[in-house]
Amino acid sequence: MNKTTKTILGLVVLILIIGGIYFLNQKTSGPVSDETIKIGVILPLTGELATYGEGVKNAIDLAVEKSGFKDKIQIIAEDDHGCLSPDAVSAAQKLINLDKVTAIIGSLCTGSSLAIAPITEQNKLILIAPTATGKNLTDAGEYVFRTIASDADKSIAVANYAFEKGFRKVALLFDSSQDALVSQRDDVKEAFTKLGGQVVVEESFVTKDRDLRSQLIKVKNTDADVIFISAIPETLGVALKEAETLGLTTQFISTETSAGTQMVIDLAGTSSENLIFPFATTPENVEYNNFINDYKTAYGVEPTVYAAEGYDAGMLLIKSLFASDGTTDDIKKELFKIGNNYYGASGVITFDQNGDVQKPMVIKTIKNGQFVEVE
Amino acid sequence: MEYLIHIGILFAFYAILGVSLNLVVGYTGLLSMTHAVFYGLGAYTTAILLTQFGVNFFLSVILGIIIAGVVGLFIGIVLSRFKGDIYALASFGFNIIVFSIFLNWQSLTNGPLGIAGIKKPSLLGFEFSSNFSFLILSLVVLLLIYLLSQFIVKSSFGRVLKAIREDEQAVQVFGYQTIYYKLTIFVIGACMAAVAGSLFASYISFVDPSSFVLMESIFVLAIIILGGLANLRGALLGALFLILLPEILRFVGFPSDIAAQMRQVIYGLILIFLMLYRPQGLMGEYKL
Repeated sequence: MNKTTKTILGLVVLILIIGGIYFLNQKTSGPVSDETIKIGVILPLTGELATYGEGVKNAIDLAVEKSGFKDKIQIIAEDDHGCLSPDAVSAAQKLINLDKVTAIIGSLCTGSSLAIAPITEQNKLILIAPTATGKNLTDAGEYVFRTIASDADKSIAVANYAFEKGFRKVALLFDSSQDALVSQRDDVKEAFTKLGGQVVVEESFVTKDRDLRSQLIKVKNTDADVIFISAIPETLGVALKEAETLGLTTQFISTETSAGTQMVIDLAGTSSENLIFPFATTPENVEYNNFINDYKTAYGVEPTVYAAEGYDAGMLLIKSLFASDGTTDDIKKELFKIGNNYYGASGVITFDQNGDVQKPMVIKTIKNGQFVEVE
Repeated sequence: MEYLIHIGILFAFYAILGVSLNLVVGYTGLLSMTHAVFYGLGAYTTAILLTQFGVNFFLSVILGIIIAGVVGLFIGIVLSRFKGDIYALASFGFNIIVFSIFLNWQSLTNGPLGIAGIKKPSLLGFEFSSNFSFLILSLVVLLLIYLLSQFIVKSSFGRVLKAIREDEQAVQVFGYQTIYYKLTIFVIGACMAAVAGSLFASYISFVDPSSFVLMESIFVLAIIILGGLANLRGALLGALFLILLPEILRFVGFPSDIAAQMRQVIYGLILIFLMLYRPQGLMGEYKL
């Protein structure tokens, strides 16, 4: 071993030791107040999905601010690097064992939430997945909740609507690399064929694709009278624009998570007119409008997709925490009590016995650059 | 403590991947960027067998090894037509193909929805349900693989591998059929990676294709380049370093708004500096 090797090895050891000291410091010092309740947050804060992760995190911070318990709550946010399950597990282990959090909100995707769930269950902690829409989270555990409706509800709603309006032949365009978007495709397919409709073509793409012309041309060459597309808003915006350029005038239908954001209108402009999608809502939309205004005031931008669900997750958790005696079973009880016909930013929330939510829905469309409800 | 055990388990997975890839890249000089394929094959084999057929974990490991070995043999045969940079590019292609299969063969792999609820291993009535027992299991497997690798590189077979790395033509002149040597070590590496995959699936209890992307292969490559090519201890050190570093950075007190981004930047910077001042890695004996 020569001198440089030794120096380098020395440096490595030094870094590890310094790291270790940090690590111990964190453990012993930290916020000393006994009154502070720690809530762990696991979201993709870097990587492909960072926009959504940041939006949800901002919304949770906003919920803390608005809850009136700001001084008593500490949010500890950890990154799962784009919904990677091992990273989500690392974050959960750190939050539970070192930070000793009382509950965890996370993660953005169904997959990473499913990876965290066994750990929170084992440690008997509440896990609220604010935005995970996959079906298989329903039976992930006794203490697992979510504030977004399982995909199935919305997809079935839009499929039913399309069938009622007389559409019979659907083309399915879907993002095959996102768990949520694939299950939306599955649900629409199932609901539509069950009603007696027909799937004429299925075309897939991946999240990073920003050009769907070849898929759209294939759809154009079929006799589909309606196109269901499940994509992230960026891709949806591009697709609608390209469809117009290609002269594809078939009716587009989509879901809230894809279409219910200003970004689609901004990207697609007039091409987004008449797009139809389901939308979970409160009767007067007061909570929703308040949330949008508060978010804009706090961060200077429109809330991203899923931010409202993050806000509700934060708010429901904080309310239940302070209404309970602090034990997980009691928090769970309070969550069921408060989460019963709760008017939140993302719609009316009622938890069923699995911790899933059912939300009343309306069908929305875009007219003159505005989201409007369809009668 | 649970957190440290968790990091220890992750270390064991990546150390197995590092040691096995080091046999291929470090000792034989085949710049393979397809290691995540075999890692994934092992993980999916265990995931599917355990959740759908209730097979014992250890049996699924053996099946995972066999599947990875067969696929490794096929990929190895195709790759043996390439050399140097082209080899790296072609191997990269296989990673993308297999990733797409994981993603799109939905009836088998459940696509991007992944497979959840994978059980922990059990052997003769003992279940490795606590993380501590799982750590011990992972470290024992790592030790076995390490010893096997050490045996391979110290054998005459291992010396031929190193000679192939230095000058393949010269070795051929001495009458060695180098292709068989290269294939054998590639398949051995693949089988070892599958073991890490099986452990991973059982530990995380959930697999989806995102864990087996090209980036994962590059990460394992980074482990051995950083730790040192053609040095088995280097692979261990590299894995330790690259697993610990991001976790330690979680504790650096950045302002919470930019913490996640800053960590990534620092992580990148440390890697760049290490390569700048130590291109052969921490304990490397051979440079790409």
